Amino acid sequence: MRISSNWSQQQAVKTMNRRESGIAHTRRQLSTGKRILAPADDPIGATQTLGINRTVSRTEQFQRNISQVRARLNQEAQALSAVTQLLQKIRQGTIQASTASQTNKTRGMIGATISQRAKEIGQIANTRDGTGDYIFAGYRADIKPFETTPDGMAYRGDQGQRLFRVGPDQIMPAGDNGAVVFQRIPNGNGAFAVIPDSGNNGGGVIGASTVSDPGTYQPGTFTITFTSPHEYSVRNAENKVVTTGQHQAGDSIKFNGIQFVLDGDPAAGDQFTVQPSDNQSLFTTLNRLVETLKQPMNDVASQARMHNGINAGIRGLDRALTRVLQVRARVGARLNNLDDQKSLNGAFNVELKEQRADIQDTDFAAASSRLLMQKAVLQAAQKAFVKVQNLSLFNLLR
Amino acid sequence: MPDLLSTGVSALLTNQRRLDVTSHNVANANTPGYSRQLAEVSPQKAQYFGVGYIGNGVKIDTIRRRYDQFVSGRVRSSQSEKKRLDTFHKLASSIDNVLADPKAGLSPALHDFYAALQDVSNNPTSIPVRQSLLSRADVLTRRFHTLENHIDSLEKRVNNTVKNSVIDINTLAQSIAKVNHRIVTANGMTNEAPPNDLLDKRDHLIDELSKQVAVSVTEQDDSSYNVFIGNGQALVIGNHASQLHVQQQPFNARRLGVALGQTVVTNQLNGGVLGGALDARRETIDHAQNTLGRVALGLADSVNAQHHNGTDLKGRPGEDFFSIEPPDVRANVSNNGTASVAASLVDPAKLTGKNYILRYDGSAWSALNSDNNASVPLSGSGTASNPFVLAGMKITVGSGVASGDSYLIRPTAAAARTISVEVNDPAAVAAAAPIRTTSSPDNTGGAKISAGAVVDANNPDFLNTATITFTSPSRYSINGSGDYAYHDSEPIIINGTQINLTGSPAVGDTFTVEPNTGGTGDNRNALALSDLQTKGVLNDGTASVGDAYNQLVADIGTQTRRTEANKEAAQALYHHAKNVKESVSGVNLDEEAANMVRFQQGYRAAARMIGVSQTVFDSLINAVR
Repeated sequence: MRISSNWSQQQAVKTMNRRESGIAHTRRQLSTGKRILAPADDPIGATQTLGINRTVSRTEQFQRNISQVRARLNQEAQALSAVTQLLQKIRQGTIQASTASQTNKTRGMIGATISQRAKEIGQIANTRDGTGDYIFAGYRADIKPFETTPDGMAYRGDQGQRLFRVGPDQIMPAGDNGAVVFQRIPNGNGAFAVIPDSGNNGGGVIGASTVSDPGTYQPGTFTITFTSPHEYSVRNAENKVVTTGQHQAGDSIKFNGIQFVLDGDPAAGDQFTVQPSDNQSLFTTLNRLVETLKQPMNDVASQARMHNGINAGIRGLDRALTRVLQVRARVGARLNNLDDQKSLNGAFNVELKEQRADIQDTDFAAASSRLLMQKAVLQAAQKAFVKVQNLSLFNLLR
Repeated sequence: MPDLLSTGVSALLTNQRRLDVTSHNVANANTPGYSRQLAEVSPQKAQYFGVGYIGNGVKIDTIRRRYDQFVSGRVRSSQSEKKRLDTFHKLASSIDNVLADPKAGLSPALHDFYAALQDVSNNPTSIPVRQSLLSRADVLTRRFHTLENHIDSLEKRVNNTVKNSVIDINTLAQSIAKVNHRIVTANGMTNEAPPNDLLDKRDHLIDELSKQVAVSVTEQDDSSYNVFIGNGQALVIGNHASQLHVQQQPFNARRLGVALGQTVVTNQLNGGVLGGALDARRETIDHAQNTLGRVALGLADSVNAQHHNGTDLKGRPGEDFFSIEPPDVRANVSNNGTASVAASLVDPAKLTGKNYILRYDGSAWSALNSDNNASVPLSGSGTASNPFVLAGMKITVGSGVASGDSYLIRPTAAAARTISVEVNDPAAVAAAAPIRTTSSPDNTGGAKISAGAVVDANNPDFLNTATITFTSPSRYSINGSGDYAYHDSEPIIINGTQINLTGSPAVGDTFTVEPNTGGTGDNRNALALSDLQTKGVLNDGTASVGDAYNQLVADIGTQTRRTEANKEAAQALYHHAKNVKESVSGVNLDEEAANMVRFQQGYRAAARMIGVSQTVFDSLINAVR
């Protein structure tokens, strides 16, 4: 085949150009560390990388969210721990107040201490976090949740709970509202409460109460009236007599699955009401306790009232403690969950980043050796070009 | 009469001419488009002299160039294809490089935006965090603008390419026509001797023309070439050249098309730089622009819809978060009627990324796909109460339309250019939900109520307080009336809000759904907004905003790669064809050198022969003295 001199030279130049652009491409791969310089280099790989980037970015955001949640939960745990300690101290003081050696004055002083501690609990209930949000206010984070009013402590927050996304399918609540922690605490034994009439004159003091037989227990309001210090009748809400009985100090009164101990001797005409447990705020419990301790104790009736009040207070404190510990346990479980989720997210991200590096990063060994080879080929082409230049018949004719 | 002298002279002259031709070849060895020329020689007519025919020497018949029409045709067509793919590839890879660039691409900005939404969801009361969201949203919209501008600049580049290409084509066409004329004249004057250099020139002009657009050539009896482009539109007939001109497209004044005389040939031209630019515009640039617009619309619409369901820091309902222009409607410049047509977006999941033409034929409206004029189903009647529904849009037409009027509707054209952040007060970010639920503190049962989610903010009773009271453990009333059966965990929708009640309620338990006053720490709507990152809002609900963008990157990447591979194949084909052509028509300097030696020797021999004839003559004269 004939070779045109002009064309063969153009060819040689084009070849060298192609080699040079190949070298430039490899050099860019080496200097940027990326095998895929534009999506056209590997469209599938590029798209995969974009997908992985999104998941990595989301997972990193989840980790950030986890730190935020953890901070909030830790703060809540601290607050609850402080409340627990205060409640335990109050309980100790209350038990002390019920010993026989106390006088009106000393009881009053204990009452004042309890009142002070109650105020501290109130302050803890109004804790704010780093950004100024009230942590026990539900959604109403800018409004102080607990406000002292003449009628007692009012809850101004709501029942919301802030949710956080900590994993692709995991949403975690952080924060419990004040209603759950402080307000909605059932009184009595959780099922029913026994309340002595305020006009009682006798020495009847209500002791431990339980649901003795869940099968026959039916919630309802019952009135126990003592016709004499040792005889009583029980009427239900329709004023029908349910049962009657005899009673000695320390005996329990049982009917319809309800059982409670009654110490002391009531007077004739004394009444006790059994009603299903209501929700009672911790602050109400504490206020009532303080009021009780202020009262002077000078006769049987006032003594009975004192002990009833103290017992009711202790029951209330126990219920409150149970609630607070319950919430603390939940917070602790969530913190554990978070740790697990954080490791999971972290491991997932490491895996993804490895995948991404596999797809889009340059294999330095391969690229370097490719560069060497390309340079060698270019040099060969250049040398060949120079050698061929001088081959012309015109040079040899004379 | 046979004569040593005249034979010798004929040889001398012939070899001299042949040396001339050789030197012409050598001089033009590097001239583009030059075909080597050879003198065709044949013996002079012999004469009969009794003992036989005695030759009279040598003559040159003609000087002919070495040229193969078919090989040249192959070179032209492969060159058109190569140039087309070159141009296409340059334009496509320009978009390709930008889309996935970490600094200019959309993905990083999109991730940052959704991350900022999560940050707000973590800290809804924090003004700095909200401000950061607005900043990131702004960065995102600017990224859209940058990409759109880049694509737009490519559109301008295509327009320029079209303009320049048309100018070149016209100039070349006129030159070809002139050369045609000169060749015909030269043929007439010289009686069969091919005007080689003119022929080369004409071929070279047509080669240059084939770089701009694919051509087909036919030869006439008078040796002039007719040149056709596109589907057979004549560009040059004999010595007459038609002119292409550039004109604005009927619906889109910014876009240029090409016409030959009265006929619009934009979609018929193929091959060459012009074909490549038009192809890239049709296949890649339009696709990229429409998809980017679709992504912008999907983002704006989904975020706005969710934002409307929320309440901001001051208790006001959420307004539009992004503002974006509605679908673009243009009337054909040749419309006779005065009707105005308006389109608005209804459902981004149904967007197709295609543009549509709405046409009135005198009695009814119909819709066509603007790419291929295929008809598309159109429902509705075009009035405000019963608008046309088409590909996720609703379209209303005004009065005053004339028969034959048409309108181009581009749902996504303006989206990426015009998307912007509407909210500028950080407190106006609607992170909270407008409603909340409470259970009464007097409840004694174990039932719980969920926090509540908005399903229909347009419900006329939305935000009215509703109280659910249980009349029995399995039946409840709402606001004191009605008697509904309670099923554990079944969603209940009240006044446009959906709640779930779980567990066992007791008689008399009440639950309330009420406005979320003061709920600044509520992050339900922010959480829902951040969850949009993975929610399917486009492609019939199968693709999220990020997915659709990734699909665009994949599409353009694949197209670019395919074009690159095709370009390399076309290059190889061109290379091969050119090799063959050069082997026929190219000048080889060594060959010319050898020829030079040969003709030199011939010349010397001929000169010697003349000397011999001189000697013979002298001998004759001296013999007769």
